Amino acid sequence: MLEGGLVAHRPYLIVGPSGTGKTSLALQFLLEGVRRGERTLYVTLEEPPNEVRVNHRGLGPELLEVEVFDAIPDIMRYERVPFKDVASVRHSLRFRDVPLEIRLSPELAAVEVTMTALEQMLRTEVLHRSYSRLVIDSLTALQYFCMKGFDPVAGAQAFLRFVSDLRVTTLLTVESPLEDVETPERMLARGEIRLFRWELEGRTVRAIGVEKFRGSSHDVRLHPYRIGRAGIDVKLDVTISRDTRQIIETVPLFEPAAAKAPVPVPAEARITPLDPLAEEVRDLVLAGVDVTALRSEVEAALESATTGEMNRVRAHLARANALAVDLSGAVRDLPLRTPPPDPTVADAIQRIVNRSEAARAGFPPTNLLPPKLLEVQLQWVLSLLPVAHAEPVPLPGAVPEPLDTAESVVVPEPPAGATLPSEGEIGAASPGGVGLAVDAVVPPVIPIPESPETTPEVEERGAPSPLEIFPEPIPEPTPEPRYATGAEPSIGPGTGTPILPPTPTATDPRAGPGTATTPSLEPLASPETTVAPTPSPDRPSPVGEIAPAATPSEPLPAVEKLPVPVRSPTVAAARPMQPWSPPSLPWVQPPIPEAKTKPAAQTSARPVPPVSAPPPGQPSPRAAPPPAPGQRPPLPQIAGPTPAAIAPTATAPWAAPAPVDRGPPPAARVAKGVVPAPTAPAPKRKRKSSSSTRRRATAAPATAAPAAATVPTPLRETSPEAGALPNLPTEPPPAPVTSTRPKRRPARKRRAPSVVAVRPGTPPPDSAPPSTPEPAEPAPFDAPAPSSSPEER
Amino acid sequence: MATEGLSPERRVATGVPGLDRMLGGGLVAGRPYLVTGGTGSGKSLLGLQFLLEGIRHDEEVLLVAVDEPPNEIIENVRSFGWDLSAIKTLDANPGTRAIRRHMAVQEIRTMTDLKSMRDHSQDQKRSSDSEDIAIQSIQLKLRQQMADRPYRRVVVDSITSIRRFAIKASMDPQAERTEIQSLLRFLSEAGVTTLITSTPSDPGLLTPEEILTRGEILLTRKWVGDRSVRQLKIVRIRGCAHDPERRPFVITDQGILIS
Repeated sequence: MLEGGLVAHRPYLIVGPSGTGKTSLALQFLLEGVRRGERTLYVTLEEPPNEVRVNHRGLGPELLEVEVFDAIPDIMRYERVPFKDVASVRHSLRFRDVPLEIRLSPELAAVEVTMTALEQMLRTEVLHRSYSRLVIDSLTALQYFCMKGFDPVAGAQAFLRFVSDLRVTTLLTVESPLEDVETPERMLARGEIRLFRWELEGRTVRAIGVEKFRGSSHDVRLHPYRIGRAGIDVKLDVTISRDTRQIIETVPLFEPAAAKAPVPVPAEARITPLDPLAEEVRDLVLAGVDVTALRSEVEAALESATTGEMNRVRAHLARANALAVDLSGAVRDLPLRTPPPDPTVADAIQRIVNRSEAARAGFPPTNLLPPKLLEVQLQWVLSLLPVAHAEPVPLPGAVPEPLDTAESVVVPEPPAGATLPSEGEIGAASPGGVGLAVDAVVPPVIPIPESPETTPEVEERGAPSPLEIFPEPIPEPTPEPRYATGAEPSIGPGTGTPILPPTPTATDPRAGPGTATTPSLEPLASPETTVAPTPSPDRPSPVGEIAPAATPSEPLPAVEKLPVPVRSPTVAAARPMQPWSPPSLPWVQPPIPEAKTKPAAQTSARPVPPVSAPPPGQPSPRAAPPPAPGQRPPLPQIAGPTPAAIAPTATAPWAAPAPVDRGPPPAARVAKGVVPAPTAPAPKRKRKSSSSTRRRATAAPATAAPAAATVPTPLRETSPEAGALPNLPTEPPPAPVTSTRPKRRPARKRRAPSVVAVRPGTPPPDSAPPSTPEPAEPAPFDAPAPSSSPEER
Repeated sequence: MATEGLSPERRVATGVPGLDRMLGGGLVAGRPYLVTGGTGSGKSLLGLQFLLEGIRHDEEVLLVAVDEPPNEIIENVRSFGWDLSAIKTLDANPGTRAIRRHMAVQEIRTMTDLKSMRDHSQDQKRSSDSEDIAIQSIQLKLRQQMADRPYRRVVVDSITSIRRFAIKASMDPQAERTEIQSLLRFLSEAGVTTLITSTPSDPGLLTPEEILTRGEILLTRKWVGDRSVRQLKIVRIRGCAHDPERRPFVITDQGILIS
């Protein structure tokens, strides 16, 4: 919240009513100092040191190293006894040496604590022991009990001034029963951390906020916290509204934090009765299942909640729950012989299956919240749903992607320049910022309905359509990011040659591993997978590595293995730099890792197409670009089970990418329901669907979803990568310029062949699809993608 | 001195089973606590239950009665059938305020001695001199008593009245704060677990006892239709995990029952 911490050598206030954890927070500050080997001093004016020691023993053994100065006055004798100055009588002790029993006032003398004495003590102590962290607990007690003859306000001012002259980072606690009282110390301190405690509907809510922080930007929102044995624990991914005091789900402010945020957000929500539904929805979306019908029910429930018709809300929610049960049942019945390549998807499916077994009897009864809270909850669930529709792919990659998205949104948007990027961003954004991005989400929803409607019913006939939908969307995101990045271009032109060599090598291992690992690699992996298509079973170790690289979380490992150290760095650099695309050449060679990973993916994809071309796919790919996308998605799903299938899936994604963004973009558009793409995409979809249908006739929707998910994942990965992972850089480079894409594609194809040569022919089908998509897709991509994104938005 | 294996602090049962549960076993011994609530919210009753629990454990207990004269307290709980005779009482209920300001004000410590409840006759105090109380006089009185009677539990009912009635204190807020701090410190050092009752102050005004006590229990009563709904909440407590929610309670002849 402070964006890195307090500015050293300044005094700060911790303000709040009693019992909010001011002392805990202050002690945690000191303990951190102890952990860093600093000297720390705790001056207590309220709570006797022995009680502090006992009460806060849960903070850790470091507490014993904190030095404490007991500035609590003795009992007044009301007799003529000599008064002694606190500074001359007492010294600071380590908590280790603090007796467990309370200190007894001496019989013959009383120690008086005055502000001046305290200042004198602090000056000497700080001078001789060079403390770097100091806590005064509390300034209020100092004002109340130690300022005889001073005006408390003037005294506080003088004391703060004195403290800031000490040049020690100081926390002063202030008791403040009211929130709005402006006190002099609040004006003087360089920063104020405020602790709130409210009673909301009978429950106690604690919140922490940075009210003032001079010399640094900071998080101005309120976040809830808990006080546990180990001190204060702030939940950064949840925000509390300052006026309504209601909990708002938020996306993390900062990308780094955000990276792992997506998962936490759901966890937070578990407090609410709608959580079971939300969890199911999240997993369904991850699995790529069409949730249009579900969404419409939730929308209806939200509408009813707004008008306060709680009975209708219950009815809609019951229906939504029933739909969720049905959908999860469909997923359970899917003929999945092999786990989907994407671990995220695989996990989601596993959860769905587990739950559907247990939840056949229905979801737990829903205890509805009061309308206002319920609305927030429903909106939250809705936000999950739309995301799914708009960007099935993103969901799979959700964990990493959200972050990426956020990042991309923040920074990348401009680079997106090309339509594709924008789409990718949108997609990513929606997943990440569920709560916030409601607007964004909504637009997608609209388009979704078209396809989604079919989806639910269409298991058989609809299956294709849904599948198509998913696949298409999926490809879009991925490709877009890549294009946006402009990585491809770089690869194509300069990197192309260099990349090719590396790529092959990389590809082989990656391909193998990637396939195996599939999940993490999604973007890259998919391409790789194509190369080493079936290998999924084989799961070469490299793949695993690769996969990680692809995934935000895992990327690092991947990078390490394949890319070697070099790659990881490059990757890191690459993310931020969409601009890198141009530099790609230099990049590629040294950073090869990154370039390889991403490029490799791309390259591999490219190669793959060629490979496939050699066997069966060459003609088919180009000729039937549309089918390629469709097939791919289905294939992936199928592939999951069967090697061949896997290969297709992988290929499909790749192909989409490899064909260059164009291929995927159209699909994405289509999926999203973008109007522009319709004509061209439609055919493709149909074809795809048909293909998919054949293979997945039964579980068309669910299967398709998974497949879509898998495919999307890659795409997403790519997009995420741009933001978070090394892979991203590669992808990003391509993204930048549309013009480059065509060139790149060719390059890829050429490269691809080489790669292909290396690998077996399994991928042919896959490769074929990709290649096909490429030609057709390109045009749609550029034009439609942009249009679609704006529209949706 | 003591090593890290700190033994869990000693807990003191409050005499209200539900409250003990909310506190995770009772109040930490030897510390002062604040009980706040409006008039009629059950503060005094909680204090009496706390003292009776002490009697049950053969502890020396003391009630500093400022709000109500002890004889009234006895009558009030008679309907419950409680026997308060073992509770030592310091009758700090100020006498009829003299109308003439210049009349000598005698402090209670010079006037009153500690008596058991059974010693309190039905009569009101009949002293010709106006008595007044000061926080320091309570501390001094207790100090005298502590020498031969190690009190384990003390209830001050209520500090708001002390502040309101004590002439000295009202004249110098600074001195009042210091005296309250000294009193609480004295009780802490003596190892006494203290309950101090207080009526809610002006929300913007922070009282010294709010700063110095180690915990606060809030009793509220509100009217729903023609029924009064009583609630108890642990606002804060140092050093022990507790139930932070508001809990409804009822007053029966068993005293406070928290559901």
